[in-house]
Amino acid sequence: MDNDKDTPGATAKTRILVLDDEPIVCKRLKPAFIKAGYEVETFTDSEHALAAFEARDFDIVVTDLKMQGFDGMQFLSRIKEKTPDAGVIVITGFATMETAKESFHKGAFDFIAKPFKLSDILEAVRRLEAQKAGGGAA
Amino acid sequence: MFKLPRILQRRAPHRPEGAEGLRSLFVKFRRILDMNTRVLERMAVMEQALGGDSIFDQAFLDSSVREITSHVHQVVYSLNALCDERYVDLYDRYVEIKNILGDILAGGHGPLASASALPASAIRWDMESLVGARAARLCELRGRLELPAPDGFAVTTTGCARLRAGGGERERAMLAVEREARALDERMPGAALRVEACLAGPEPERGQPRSVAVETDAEGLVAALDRALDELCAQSPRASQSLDAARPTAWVRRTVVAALRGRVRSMAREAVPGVGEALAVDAAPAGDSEALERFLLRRTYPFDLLRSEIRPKALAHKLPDGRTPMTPLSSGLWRGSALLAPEQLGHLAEAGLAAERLFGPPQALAFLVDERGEALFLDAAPMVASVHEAPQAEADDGERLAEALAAARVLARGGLAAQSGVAAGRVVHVDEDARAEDFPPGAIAVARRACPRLTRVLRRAAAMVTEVGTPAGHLATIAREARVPALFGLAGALRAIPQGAEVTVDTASGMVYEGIVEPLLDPAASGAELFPSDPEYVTLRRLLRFIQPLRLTDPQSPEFTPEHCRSFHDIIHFSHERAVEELLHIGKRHRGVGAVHTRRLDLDVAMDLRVLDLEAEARGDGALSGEMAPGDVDSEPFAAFVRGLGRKDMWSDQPVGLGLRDLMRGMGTAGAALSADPRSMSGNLAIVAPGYCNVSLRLGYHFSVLDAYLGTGPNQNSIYFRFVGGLADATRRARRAVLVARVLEALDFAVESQGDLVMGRLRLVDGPDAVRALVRLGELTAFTRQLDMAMTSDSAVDELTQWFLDAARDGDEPQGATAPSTEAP
Repeated sequence: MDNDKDTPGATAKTRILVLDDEPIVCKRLKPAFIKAGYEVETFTDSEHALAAFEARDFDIVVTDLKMQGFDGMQFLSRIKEKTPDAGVIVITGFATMETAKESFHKGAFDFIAKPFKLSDILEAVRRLEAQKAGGGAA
Repeated sequence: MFKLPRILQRRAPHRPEGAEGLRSLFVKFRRILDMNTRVLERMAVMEQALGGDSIFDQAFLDSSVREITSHVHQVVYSLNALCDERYVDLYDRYVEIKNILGDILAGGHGPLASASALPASAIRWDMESLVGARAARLCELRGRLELPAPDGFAVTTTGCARLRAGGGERERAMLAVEREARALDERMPGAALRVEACLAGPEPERGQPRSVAVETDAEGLVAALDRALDELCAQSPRASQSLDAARPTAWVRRTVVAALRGRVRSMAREAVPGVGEALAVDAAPAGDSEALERFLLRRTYPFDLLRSEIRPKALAHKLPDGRTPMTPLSSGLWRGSALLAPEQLGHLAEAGLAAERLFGPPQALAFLVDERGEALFLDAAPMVASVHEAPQAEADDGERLAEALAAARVLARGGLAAQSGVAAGRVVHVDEDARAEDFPPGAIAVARRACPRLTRVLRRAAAMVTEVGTPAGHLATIAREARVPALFGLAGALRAIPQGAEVTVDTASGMVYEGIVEPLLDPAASGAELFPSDPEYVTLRRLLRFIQPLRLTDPQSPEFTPEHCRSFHDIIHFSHERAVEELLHIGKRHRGVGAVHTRRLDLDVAMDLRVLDLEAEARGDGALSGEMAPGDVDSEPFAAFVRGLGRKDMWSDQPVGLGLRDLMRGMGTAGAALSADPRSMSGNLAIVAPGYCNVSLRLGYHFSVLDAYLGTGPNQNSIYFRFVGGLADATRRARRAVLVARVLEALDFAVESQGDLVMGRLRLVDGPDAVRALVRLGELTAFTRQLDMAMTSDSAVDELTQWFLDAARDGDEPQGATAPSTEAP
């Protein structure tokens, strides 16, 4: 974050939903996104996350893949069914070529393997914002 | 004793012979090298995760342990396959450590869980559930921050449970307690002891006792423990419901006579208008808590006093530091009547903020000032239960932060965070020779290079920024250990961040702002960091304790055995050293495999060096004969070393001056080594492979060993250098060892010395830096060939060290100078 005038979130804030069943990931991503100028809600179970997504407008979704209940891949499908242009970034500690391919096939914008640097996820979010601002499909 | 799997027991006799056997041995050796590199790399990734720059979860810890365990198993297996199962004991160590790691991943403490009592030096933050929060924090203040905190020992939750169980269990705990009490008495003789019993685990709720204290002497210690535990359990609702669940523990220390007692709060309860958050210090004379004095200070160096409430005193009143209000100070001012002098307040503020950096949330530190005027910290507790339970930077806070950042002027941006965090203060530029004593505590250090010699400066700094360096280096590890925010590799930092300026550094974002950006310093804005209170941090640190430390560094030591391996690092290092030794004795130990092919290296200096090319041997091309040029060897680390070795101005051709004593000594010790035939694999030999070399040299009566890996990134790069011996008397050999040690330190090696033995290790460095270090080692090898003879005085050490470093600085191009004469006067 810096004093550039075109800083993301400087005017209308981008809203981000984070879903990860590991509390540590939510605990750390939330303040990082807030510091970068975004509005954030975090969830550790997919049912509540989906309910929130259906009830409120989110610009970007960051989701884990392997979770209790319905997993991240199903969550991604449900989100895309409801809002096809939702921007989704997948984060996972079990990254394989197959899961990456499937994520992209289902419409994920990016696929990031854990552990990842904070700067990596912020960069992915900024690219996604830029793409959405440019009118491209997420 | 661990038994070999049956499959191994059955298979042992088969051993391929001839060329196939030879190739098989080399393949096993290469496998040990490869696995070694992979373990070191994964180990580095795990350690760097402590810095908070990456997001990880339990799955990362599980997979890291799984991967490392598998590689270490392959190392142990390959070593035994290479050495005819001579190191089967190593399986025992491997299995033991593997089981410990499994226990830690499942939430356990490993072997420490069974200890009844632990000395302060063995206690770390992540043992809070074993020894209680107070002991864990005090020992971290003492060990990691080097703050004055009492020596002592903890009776663990296990020990307390045993004491209360009675019978043999109680006897066992009593023995452990008595042993630790005797050890404390040896470290710190005295009579009076203080027992502080508390419950392990979360901080007690408001209104509940944090601890129960009982004073005693050594004889009455166990009875005092019983009484303190009884009282604690009677007072605590948690303990009265279930003693097992409450997990009582006790901290035992010497009593101290206090002249004054007080508390530092790293963040005052209320912000100061126009300034923002402040730091508070309260103090009162011992036994007169009514006479409390309060001080509010800025949270950044030099911790300006913002407000104070001081009780009036007579001009002749003797203050706790032994002075009176009218005592003149070196500044020309009078001491004043405050209980705490300005420099004491500065030290307390610095300690409070260092504790906050280390533990995460703002801290309250209880302290006393003894009759000699020295402060001692007696307790540290978070001001909120957990930083994550503190109000998050939501809505208004987020808005305030965004506005502040938008308005702040950026002085510099970039670099990589070695340790995440935010700090603010005045900038002090430092160079590699900076003395820590001259560095103002709590200032922001800005330096050219992140070199290990800045370790003590870093420990005093609120944050460090360097132009050159990476999160993989040694100083980065120190930053993570002390949790000092560190931003390395920020190009142009010295120019962009001026000396004396007040700045705010946010290392996770790679930003340096002009002035103090208060909203950024608010702990609520820093939740993205990884804190010691996070379970993943605790688990990672516990795991690393059995993975990372390397204690077996000297292969000549009698303790260099499988049974002394205490970590996976010890195991892989032991295996590597023994594997190299096996290759050096391949002719004797593996008679069936036929001749080993080494080729003489065509060097333009007076030295016979033979090369064993593992790649060629594994391919079956080893029979190539004749000399080989340095360019023919496919090994980057070896090529770099040879480049330095061949630097002619480092070779002195002057005759050495020998005394009778030297000659007599030389006849007895070095003669046999020098007469060895290099073709027997016991002379100067380099074992090389792509990205690896091991060079054993007997040169000018000293032995040196270089073992180097160069991989695709800093985490794979590692250089080990060992130097010992010589022909001169012990004093001159020791002087040469000092020179070698100083040069290695200048090259950023971690160095251990003993007599004429010097061992240096350089890890986690960028490729170009590793290559530069290898060239320097080649030059050093040439330069020190017979240098012990010239070490006739301590001043010769200084002079020759300087000559070498100056010549080395000139780079690979010789400048026409030649090495100074090694002729002794």
